[in-house]
Amino acid sequence: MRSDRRLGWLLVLAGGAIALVLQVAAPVGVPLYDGVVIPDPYRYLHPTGNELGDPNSYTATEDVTGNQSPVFAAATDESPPQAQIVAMQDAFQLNAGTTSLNVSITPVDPVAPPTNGTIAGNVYRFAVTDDAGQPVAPKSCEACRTLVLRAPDGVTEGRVQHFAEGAWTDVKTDHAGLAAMYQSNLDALGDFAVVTGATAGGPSGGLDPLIFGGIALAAFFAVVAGLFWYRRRPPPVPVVRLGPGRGRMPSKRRGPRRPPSGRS
Amino acid sequence: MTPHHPRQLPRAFLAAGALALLLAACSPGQSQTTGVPSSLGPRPASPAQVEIVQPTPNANLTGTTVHIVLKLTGATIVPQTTTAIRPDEGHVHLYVDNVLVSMNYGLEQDITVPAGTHVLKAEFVAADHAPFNPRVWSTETIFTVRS
Repeated sequence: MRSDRRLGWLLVLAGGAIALVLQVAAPVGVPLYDGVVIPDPYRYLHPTGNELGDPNSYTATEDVTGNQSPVFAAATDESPPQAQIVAMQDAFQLNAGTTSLNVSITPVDPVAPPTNGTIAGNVYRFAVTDDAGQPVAPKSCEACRTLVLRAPDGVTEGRVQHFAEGAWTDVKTDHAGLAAMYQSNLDALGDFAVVTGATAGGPSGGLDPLIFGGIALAAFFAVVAGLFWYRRRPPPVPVVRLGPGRGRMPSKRRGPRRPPSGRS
Repeated sequence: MTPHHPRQLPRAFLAAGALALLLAACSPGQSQTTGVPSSLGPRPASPAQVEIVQPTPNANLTGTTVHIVLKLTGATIVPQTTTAIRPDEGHVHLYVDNVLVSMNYGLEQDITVPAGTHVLKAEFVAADHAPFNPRVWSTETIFTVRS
């Protein structure tokens, strides 16, 4: 009994220690919310059933001053936006004589389906062109252009893919604030989409280690609780079986003496 | 010493298991936040103005924790959520890349963002967490975070 109790408290302490380690390793830094707001439903380019259609596009002109491309943030109008691009100053190589840039985000049909997954939501075409409509090339830089794509509700294990040279390829993907929001730092513009399934260890594939650890911990405690319950359940009630010679209490009285057998 | 009820320890484990699940549910990057309710009926105007002091526009930061400093004028932040709203009292909502990432009761906060270029904006909202009319937005601040 005492050893069971000691073991129990040890396990409780171990659980607390594991929770503490998880918190230190991957701190939950966001504050507690006292309200949860529901996102707008996803809008599909080709809706089916009860899905909503008419996804928004974005286009804007950004003035160029000097010889560097300007800072800009572009986003479609949904809440939260289904596609965004944010660029820091000098993120694009300007063509000679450029005085303004045209930034556009457009939902488009996929040129081809991905071979290693399924597109979740729409494909978006990101384009930045100069006054003459010529594309401007992204400059080499670290994290100076970021794309954010929103996937339909329920897509929690997606990754961003880029369509280039006739094929979809994974790009490094991070979650961006919401389970269905995906972020990627761009080396190129063009067609991008959130893709699910058939990943071979993609950047965002697999279960979040913290979630996995939490589930494993919960399963462990459930098993231990089950063991305690099993060990502490009351002993089984003795069954009185009726029948000849059964169910009788043994008598303390001596039985009748047998007659002497005559042997000695 | 009071003897322990035989079912106390299993309950403790179940509670700890639930805590672990809660911990997993609160994993960073999975925060459940988005836009703002749109149909809230008539809303009051507010004299407040909110500005982003840090990070500064076009800042290049290192590390994925960003220290946010705001400046609020014409109103005060109240800690409690209430439907008895006043134009000069409320809370601040922070948006990163147009996603609501925090509803807080102060003017300084650390947030975690992935490496990349982000757009930050703040909104002063009423004490019921719904927006004023017109909405009280800060200007957008774009910054880059490198890991």
